[in-house]
Amino acid sequence: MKPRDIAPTDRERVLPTDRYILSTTDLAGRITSVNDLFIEYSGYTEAELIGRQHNIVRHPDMPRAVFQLLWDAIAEGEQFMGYVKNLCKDGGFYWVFAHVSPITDARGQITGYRSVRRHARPEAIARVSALYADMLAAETAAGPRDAIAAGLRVLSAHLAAQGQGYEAMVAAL
Amino acid sequence: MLTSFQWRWGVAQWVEFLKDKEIPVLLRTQALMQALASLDAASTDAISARDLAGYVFADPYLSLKLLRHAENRRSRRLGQETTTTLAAVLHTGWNELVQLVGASSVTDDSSEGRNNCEFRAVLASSIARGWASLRSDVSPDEVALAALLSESGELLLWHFAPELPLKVADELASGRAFRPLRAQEQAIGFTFRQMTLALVEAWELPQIIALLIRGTDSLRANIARLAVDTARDIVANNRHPSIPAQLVNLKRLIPGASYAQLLVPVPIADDYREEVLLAVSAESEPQGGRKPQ
Repeated sequence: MKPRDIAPTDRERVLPTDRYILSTTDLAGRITSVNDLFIEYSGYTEAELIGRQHNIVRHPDMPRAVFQLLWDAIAEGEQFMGYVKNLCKDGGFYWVFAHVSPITDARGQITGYRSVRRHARPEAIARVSALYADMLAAETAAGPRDAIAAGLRVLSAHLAAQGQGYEAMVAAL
Repeated sequence: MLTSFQWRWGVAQWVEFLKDKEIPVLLRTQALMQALASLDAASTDAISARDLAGYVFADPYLSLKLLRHAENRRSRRLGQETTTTLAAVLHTGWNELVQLVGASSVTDDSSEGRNNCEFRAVLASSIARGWASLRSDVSPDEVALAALLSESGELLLWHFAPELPLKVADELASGRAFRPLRAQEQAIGFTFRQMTLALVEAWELPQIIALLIRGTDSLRANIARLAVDTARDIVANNRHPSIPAQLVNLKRLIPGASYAQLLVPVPIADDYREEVLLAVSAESEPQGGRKPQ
């Protein structure tokens, strides 16, 4: 089942504070390993997840620009962190605070990415949801070709108004 | 004040400009060393080399200055490479250290950006030493020194060309750049990290320190890099939500240590420490699926 075939619902699942979702991907973003909680919260089996693009859990409420930021950061060997709304197989959703970092081999070459996702504080979700909704509206209005640039413009204006970079904003949420 | 030419300089020109500059020390370090030097002979005799190394470590400018000083002397004497602050102190000696610090220029401690950078460096170094000790590292002080010197490029720019890091800060606050690295490239044409690595090469610092600063080539280098990232996050927010994830990543490098042990060198409030430990506590339970690497 592809994410676009799933009808999103309002059914939220809240991650417990004492467990975390862990997964790894290859350089192309295909899932190479998962832990129990990922299986439990996404609703997919291990077999359905392994080898699939990580965007199998991408929720349509998420602006594409956020994932552009993610890929820009990790492709350059940096860590990425951010709040992400994920889509369950049954249409429900769960929010996470995601931390993605490169996996390197003995020579320092990036061989894949590790993502640790944990409980997101409700106050942070409330604040970031409003921003994401504005970004998504701009992306939708701009159309698929210019969506990412439009989403980034909204984020850029938001950050300029706050006088801070993206990482500082995430740290302060 | 930068000239119009300097605004157009790339990393190579800046390295050429900075590599032979006399490195300053912190004002508080100079005051401390003056106070120690004014003690009577019996009291100064009681100061151990390790005590002195601790004072030096609290000042990343002095750590760098002393390392370069010791290495310059070594090249003439063909001795062993200086790879720790303690070794640099021992090579230099008390009298020369006092003289070196006393004659040094001092750096502006009213700059918030510079203070932040200095604090990040010292914090990263302290965390790195604690973590390296937990894996019975052959020399935790080497890993700590590498973490301390990871911000050298930015630290020198704050002293010799503060207009550059200030321009980067403006770029980041403007919303035109989302990440510090991108803000650096957009504002000044290179990253602070590129500057650090180029300076390390130009200074011909010991190979092991250079490798550790690069941060990706070995387990020890990865510990130094994680310590630098964690220090950066803590300076941004001492309850940063990334700390549990950093800990999970670190556990893969030091599997023999418990999460509680790994968290000891990380200076966070006790209640947040408990929250972080709770956040990672369930990993020890059996997990299905294919085990994440």
